[in-house]
Amino acid sequence: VVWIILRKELIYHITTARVLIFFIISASLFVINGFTFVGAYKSDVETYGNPRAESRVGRSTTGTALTAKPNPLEFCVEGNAHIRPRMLYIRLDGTIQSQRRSQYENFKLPDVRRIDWSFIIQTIYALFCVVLTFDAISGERARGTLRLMASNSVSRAQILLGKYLAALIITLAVLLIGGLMSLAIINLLSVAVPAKADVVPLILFVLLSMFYVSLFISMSLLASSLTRTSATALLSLLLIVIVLVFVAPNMAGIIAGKLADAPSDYETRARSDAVGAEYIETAREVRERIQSGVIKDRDEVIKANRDIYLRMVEAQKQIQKEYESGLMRKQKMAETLALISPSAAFQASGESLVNSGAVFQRRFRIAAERYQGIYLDYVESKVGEIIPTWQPPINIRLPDKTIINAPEVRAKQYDGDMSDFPLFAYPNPSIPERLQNALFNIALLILWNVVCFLGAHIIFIRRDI
Amino acid sequence: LNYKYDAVSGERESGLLKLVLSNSISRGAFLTGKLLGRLLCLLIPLTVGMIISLLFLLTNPSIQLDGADWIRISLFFGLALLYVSVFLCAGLAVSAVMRSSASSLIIPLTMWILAIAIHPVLSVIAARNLHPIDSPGTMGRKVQSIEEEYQKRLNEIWAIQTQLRKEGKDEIEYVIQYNAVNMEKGKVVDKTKQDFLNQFTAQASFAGNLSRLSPAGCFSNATEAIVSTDIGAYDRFMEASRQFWYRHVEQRKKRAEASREEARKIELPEEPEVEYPLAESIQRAAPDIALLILFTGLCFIAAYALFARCEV
Repeated sequence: VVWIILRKELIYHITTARVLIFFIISASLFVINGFTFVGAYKSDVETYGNPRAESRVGRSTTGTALTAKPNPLEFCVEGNAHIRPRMLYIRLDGTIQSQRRSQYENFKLPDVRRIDWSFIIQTIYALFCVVLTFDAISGERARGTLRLMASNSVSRAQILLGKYLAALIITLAVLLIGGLMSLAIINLLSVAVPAKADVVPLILFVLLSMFYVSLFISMSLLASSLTRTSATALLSLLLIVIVLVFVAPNMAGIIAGKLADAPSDYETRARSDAVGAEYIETAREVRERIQSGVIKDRDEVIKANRDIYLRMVEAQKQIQKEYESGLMRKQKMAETLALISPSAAFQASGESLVNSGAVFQRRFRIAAERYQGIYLDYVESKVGEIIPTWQPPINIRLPDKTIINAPEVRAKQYDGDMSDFPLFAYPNPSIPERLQNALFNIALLILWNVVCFLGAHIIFIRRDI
Repeated sequence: LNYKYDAVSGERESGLLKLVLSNSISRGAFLTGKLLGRLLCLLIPLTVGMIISLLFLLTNPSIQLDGADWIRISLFFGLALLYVSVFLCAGLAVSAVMRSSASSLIIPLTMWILAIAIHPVLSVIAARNLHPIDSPGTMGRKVQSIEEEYQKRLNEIWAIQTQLRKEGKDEIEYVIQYNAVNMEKGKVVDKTKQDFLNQFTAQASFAGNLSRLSPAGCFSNATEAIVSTDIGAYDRFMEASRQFWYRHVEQRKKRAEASREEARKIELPEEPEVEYPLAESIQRAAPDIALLILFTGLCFIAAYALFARCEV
């Protein structure tokens, strides 16, 4: 019986204009996705190297840089990779600095989200599911065909299931056609994408998308069984979609920015400047100690001066660390708050599966921190000692007006063989690890599905038709 | 859209439309009444929302609004109404032809999603591809090669200067030459960076022009120009800062020529007062305002034409 309802629904859907309009919009967006991805990917490969090659690490003992390889699956979930730092600088003072955005990027263009699969599915598909099913029950009820159908030996659960499956199949069919078009363009224009290793994450992402669209179909069925007229169902669903897909994820960031205890940009800079001013003040201390005869010879003067300088650098480093951990706290809080929206859960689990976006950024940072320890040991073994901070040459004027030139202090560059330079273990988690990482968000999506479908079922059973 | 979707189709469905039109009411008057009535309904939440937001602002002592600011806020309010009426008229037009209220919601909804979520992204993508500019890497390398070239010349002069000083000879000629080359370097680098910025502006205005295809794009262009948060205002600020710096350099040069003591003084010229005249803002916003009016007019005419010809 379910099969008969399913077939009838499928034929009905295929002949409607809304599916055609949706198909055209979806296909155009997937084609645009293919073309724009290839352009961005080629330029990334040119700048940051081939993702299939060995990780590139600058062989130097004065600090090194780690590069995030371009991810061939970013056409799926880009996760704002284009504005995230692609390079991390490992410094000898124990800090890791992120690459800044180039001053030659066109900052006058509006910063818009890239059209990746995740964007298309999150926005267009959520709306499409609503438009496809908002009148599935209420429409038939209004036309009187629902009574006719229920008067046969068919249970309401079967009717609901048939309608649900039909909508799901149509949506997935449009998604697969669009996805294949995008993949075809990417393959025609660029040979390296996607490789064998990318197939499993890609399939997992499509499955994840199925959970996401299915929840909106269930939600529409719920609203459709609940309301008297189709227009009311559509209106209430629209409101829910706008709140869940567009408003909630953005509001989470804004609320976290206000609530999270994190020093601001301005505050951090002001504190750092204050430390710099304090340094000048304490430099006087040295002169006083010279005057009072505590410090006598040249080397001692230079050492005392160096100590103060290092203290300043240490204090500034601490301020920077607090700032960065504040940013992390903000991001964590925003992610937690955003979980109210299935759209955010979908995005986060998508990022975990294809190893991109904020999830990758965190993995990259953790791997870099681990690498830093290995790197510092290596530098120490090669040049003997680690000189954490560069210091410019300074002239120290003594009370008797003689001037001591404190020379520049600079980390040593090892001239010998560096073929044993430690390799960077690039964060490329295995599929089970990725799944484990995405588990919570996937569970949330499934929960949404179960609640909406059960809700639709209960209401449909209890309501008069 | 939510307000307007059943304006005509809803009344048609419930049979009220026949009843209303059987009186001596023209279809034009009926449509205008519907439009104005719903515009007034939207006016209330919009006004209340803006007043609450303004009250919050005004309780903060660091924010002071002057006369021109209030005019800008009023203009913003007017633009918001104009923007809303585009969608009201579009909804009205669709509602006039559609048989059921639900279908008359789907079409404007699709248009709205395209206008809000897809079109802005597409205009940026189109601008990047149809109006390409040099890549950041190319730009960076260009500036670097200029700087390196000049640095080579500067190093040569510096070497001669050091040599002369060691020999106890007069080096002043080379000091002057060094400064001249250094200044030339600054000017050439600045000119190159300016060229890049002009490329940015050209690409951004291309994207801006494309965004005018949708009322949402026109609305954001017009409001940005009115409150001076657009690229035009940014360029104005940057130009004022640049002029300020040139004045500073000129003053220093003059002081350096006057005497050694004068040269040591660090006095900055008066800070630039960057003004964003209201007239200029309105001028920048004018094309977008005109387009918004055009959109509204076209949608209303379409609504009227469709409603006049359709069966009730």
